[in-house]
Amino acid sequence: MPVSQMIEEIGELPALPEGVSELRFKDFYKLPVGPRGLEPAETLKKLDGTKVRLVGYFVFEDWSSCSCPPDSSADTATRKARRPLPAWMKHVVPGRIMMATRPVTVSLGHYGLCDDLPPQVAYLNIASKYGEPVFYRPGLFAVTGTLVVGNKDEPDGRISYVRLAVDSETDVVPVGRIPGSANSAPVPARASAPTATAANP
Amino acid sequence: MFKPKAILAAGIAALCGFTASADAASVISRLNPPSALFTFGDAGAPYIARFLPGQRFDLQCTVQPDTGLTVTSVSFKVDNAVVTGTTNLTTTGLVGGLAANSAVATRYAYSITKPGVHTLTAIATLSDNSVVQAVGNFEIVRVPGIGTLKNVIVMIGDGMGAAHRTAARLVAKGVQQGKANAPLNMDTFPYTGMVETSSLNSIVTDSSPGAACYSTGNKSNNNQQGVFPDDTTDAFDNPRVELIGEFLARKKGKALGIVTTADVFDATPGAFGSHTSNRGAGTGICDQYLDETAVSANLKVLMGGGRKWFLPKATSGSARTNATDYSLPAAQATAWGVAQGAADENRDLLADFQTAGFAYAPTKTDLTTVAPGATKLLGLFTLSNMNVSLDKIGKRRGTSTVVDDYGFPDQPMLDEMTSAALGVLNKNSNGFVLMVEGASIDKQAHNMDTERWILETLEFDRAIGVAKAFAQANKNTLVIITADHECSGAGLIGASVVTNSQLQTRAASGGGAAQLRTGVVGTYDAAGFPVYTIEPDGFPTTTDIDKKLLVGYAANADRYEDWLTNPFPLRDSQQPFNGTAPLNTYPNLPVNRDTTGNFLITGQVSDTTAVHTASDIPLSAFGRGAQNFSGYFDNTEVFFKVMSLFGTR
Repeated sequence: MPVSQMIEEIGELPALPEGVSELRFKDFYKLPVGPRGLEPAETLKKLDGTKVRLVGYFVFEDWSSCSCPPDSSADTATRKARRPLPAWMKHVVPGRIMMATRPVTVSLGHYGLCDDLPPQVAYLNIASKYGEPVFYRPGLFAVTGTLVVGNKDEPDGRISYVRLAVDSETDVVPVGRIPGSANSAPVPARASAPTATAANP
Repeated sequence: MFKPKAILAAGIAALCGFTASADAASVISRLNPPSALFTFGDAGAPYIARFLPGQRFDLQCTVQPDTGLTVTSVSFKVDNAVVTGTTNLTTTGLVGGLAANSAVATRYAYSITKPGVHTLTAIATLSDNSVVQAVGNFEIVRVPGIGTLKNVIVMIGDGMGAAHRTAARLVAKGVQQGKANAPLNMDTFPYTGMVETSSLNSIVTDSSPGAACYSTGNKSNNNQQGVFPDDTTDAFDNPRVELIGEFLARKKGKALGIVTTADVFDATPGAFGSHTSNRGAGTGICDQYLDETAVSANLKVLMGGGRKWFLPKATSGSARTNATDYSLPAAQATAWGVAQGAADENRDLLADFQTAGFAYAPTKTDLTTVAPGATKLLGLFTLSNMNVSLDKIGKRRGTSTVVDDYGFPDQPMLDEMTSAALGVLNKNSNGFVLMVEGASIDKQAHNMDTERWILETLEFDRAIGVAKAFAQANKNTLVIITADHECSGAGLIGASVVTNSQLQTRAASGGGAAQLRTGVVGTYDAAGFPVYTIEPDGFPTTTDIDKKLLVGYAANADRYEDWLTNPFPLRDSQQPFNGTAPLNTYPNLPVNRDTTGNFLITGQVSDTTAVHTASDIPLSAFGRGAQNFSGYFDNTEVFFKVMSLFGTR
């Protein structure tokens, strides 16, 4: 379920803190995509360098390595890891996780950059997770950070365009009901028998 | 033929490098093409490296000299005759673990026409004038010089095993009283074989060697396509094997088409148009499509996703990096008569394709417009993989916005791409090779997303219908339906014995196996015959019918199962507000889908998704020479069966 529809199910998001603007995935690029690359939307360009809040899903990065060769693209010198990560985490980019408008899985080990990522992806660089893996969490999250726009080589060979510099994990807040939490937006009922066409609203 | 004793003895000899002098520690540790004779001392069949008369390949060996020595020269002999031409020594950029002053010696673009088994000898001279040598072999397969085949359409359902085919038939056609109501298109092909899929280094292949076997007739290591393994770190300088498109363009002027629902750089399409030991090097693979394949293989059609590799790096959405680009050794480029390539991440490859005469279609609408008049066609419909059929069909039915959310609302289906490709390729009077891949059968089987891979198989089968119709109208055409490997160990275990409504209630109960296995999974008689309703577009109205087909996975990762269609593509909780852990906890099991039902199926593999298996895969053939494709055979044999129909002159 895309973020916009999930937010509708939830209802109102918490009020924006002062000095923070709402950034939506639909504000990233002009849609539909034209015959060549992505064209940044005016909203994205206008908010560049400011504090924004973005609501979306973490991208599940399958770190299993299949039989892929040693990762020559990952520049370990730039990873600045506090300590070496175990071998099974060789595809991890410490301190970073991707966020998308839809739940999505990528597997660098199995498929390289052949993936199902939507174009609207934000790269979250979380300062408090410096040198450490940022583990996937299911569900919808609101993230507050400073928006940085522009192409940048990522250590795993990707090229990011939309990044959020996030100070702390506390700036990554689950949206919706958390077990044992007072934050109690209702759990949406499962859709009735999804049809082949309506399975992905 | 397996010879344990001979292998043991020869293995020791191989470790010693077949040295000429008893006291020398210098060794030839690798000899390409690979052979059981070199590795195990086994001179008998089956022969690992096999080629067509005149098919080109590189000869290569790795020489590790004794301490203090260097390699001064290397020569190759075939059947004791010195191979003429330059042998190039590479001493830098070698993998770790080799002795100091090691060298990789290559004689590029060798070929021989005489059929039979040939002995290959590598002779290295070292700085103290000592000599070390190694012996291997390869086979030149006898095929007719003149063939009667004009066109071949190789259709690869990535990951498509027998169960995937059966599931698609059960859903699309149904079964009554034990007989299918109608066959799939692929079921109508008159000849079927079973294909062994193992790669050079494992019983379980990935898509690179799994597809390259069809384009080269040879095995490769996993992750490698169009090459043999070597001891250099460069992913593009490996010893090459000439691809089917290159050989037939050079010999017969045939054209090549590559069509996929994946990113066009992915392993299966890449195996028909690139040479690399790194299937992930997208920039270089896509550059090779234009620099090499369009020139040396007469590439006329390239369609799929993957636009990100065709945009200059500065363009938003580009994935081009120098780290994934290619540049060949000058001697290799010269010998093969191809461009050397360059690390040029700022290249506008899309514009370069257009300059080279390719009509460009970014959407289905454009495809419909430009394909009829095109003699060369490039279709890039998304940035990476195309959306799956469930989502594309949903858009056409007006009930899904997934493709809108991706920003690519007007994507063609595979049958439409196949039809466009055939229209362009058929303009080449000399005939063509067309590879069509249903890519996401595999990708969705990895995800154990049953309904999505079933619909991917149906999309693939509709493309098969287009190819079959072409072959019926053009009698000198062969169509082959196969896979590169099986994925997920899928098995049709039976059918639900409850209605969809009851299943949803059980899935919401959290009752685990007591609710979702007991009283739900019908086996044998209880499975009965599931009945799906098919819309005019060829796809089911819903995949959540009463008493639906149930699929299990023998190569599964841990997963929760509730048997219902997953409303989200790929992995996430269907109800994401359940069970969300604190941010700093470790996700010990990445199984976040279908958790509400609490029916955990423990996987046999530790990966987070299902894996490929070594199970044989079916192959079906239709058209000219189809009768040659029955029985059991190795995947590399498919290449030689096809080429025996084309002939080599």
